[in-house]
Amino acid sequence: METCRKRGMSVSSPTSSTVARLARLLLDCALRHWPEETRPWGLALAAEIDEATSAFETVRWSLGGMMFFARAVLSGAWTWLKLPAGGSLPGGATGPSILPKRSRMFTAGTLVVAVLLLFLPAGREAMRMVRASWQGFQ
Amino acid sequence: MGLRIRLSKQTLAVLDALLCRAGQWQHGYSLSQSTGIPSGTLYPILMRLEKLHWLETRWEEAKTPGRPPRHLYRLSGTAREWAREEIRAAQEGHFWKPAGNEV
Repeated sequence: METCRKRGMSVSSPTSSTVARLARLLLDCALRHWPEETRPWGLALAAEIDEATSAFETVRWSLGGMMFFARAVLSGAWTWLKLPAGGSLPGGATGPSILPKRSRMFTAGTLVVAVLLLFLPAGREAMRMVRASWQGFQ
Repeated sequence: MGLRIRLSKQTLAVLDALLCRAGQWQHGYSLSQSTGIPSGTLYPILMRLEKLHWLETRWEEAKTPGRPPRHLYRLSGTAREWAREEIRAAQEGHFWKPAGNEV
């Protein structure tokens, strides 16, 4: 938390109870890691914390900010998952792309299904046979 | 008529609060106070309204040195008409009513 305080603009305050200070610090910390797309909104929310007149209001405002932060992070992760696999790889801008057009979500889903298949009786049997054949080979 | 979207009760409350002082810039904290909507719900709504170009925003330099600049909001000219229409439709459909009118 101390490093968070040092790394940028801090939201200083007139409400100075320990709980209120902690709430501000938490919001300050979230701001350091806020996704770029919605960062100005995070700053806008954080700037308003100075208007809170009591420690309770400060904590309430800060908790709302944390919820907003969580939503922003999840939304960013969701957007990333919906991108085509390899979509953010640098280079290769010229010429037709050889990258798969499937989204990361689809790729991750396929991978999970493939792993789950290995836990089915038939999958386990197949694994046993492969292992046995390797042991004989060695 | 602009883009029609499904508005939640909270969004209608925010639009109503912005319409109460149409044309005037308002801060997020005062909007939260007048609507009773917590910051975690209010800001995603404001963000969405801005994306739809219903909301005009600007930064205001802090009056006290050392404080961060504050964000201000107001409904855009055309959005005021749409907002009034949406609120009227919600009230007629008994989907929403202003906080002051609640029984």
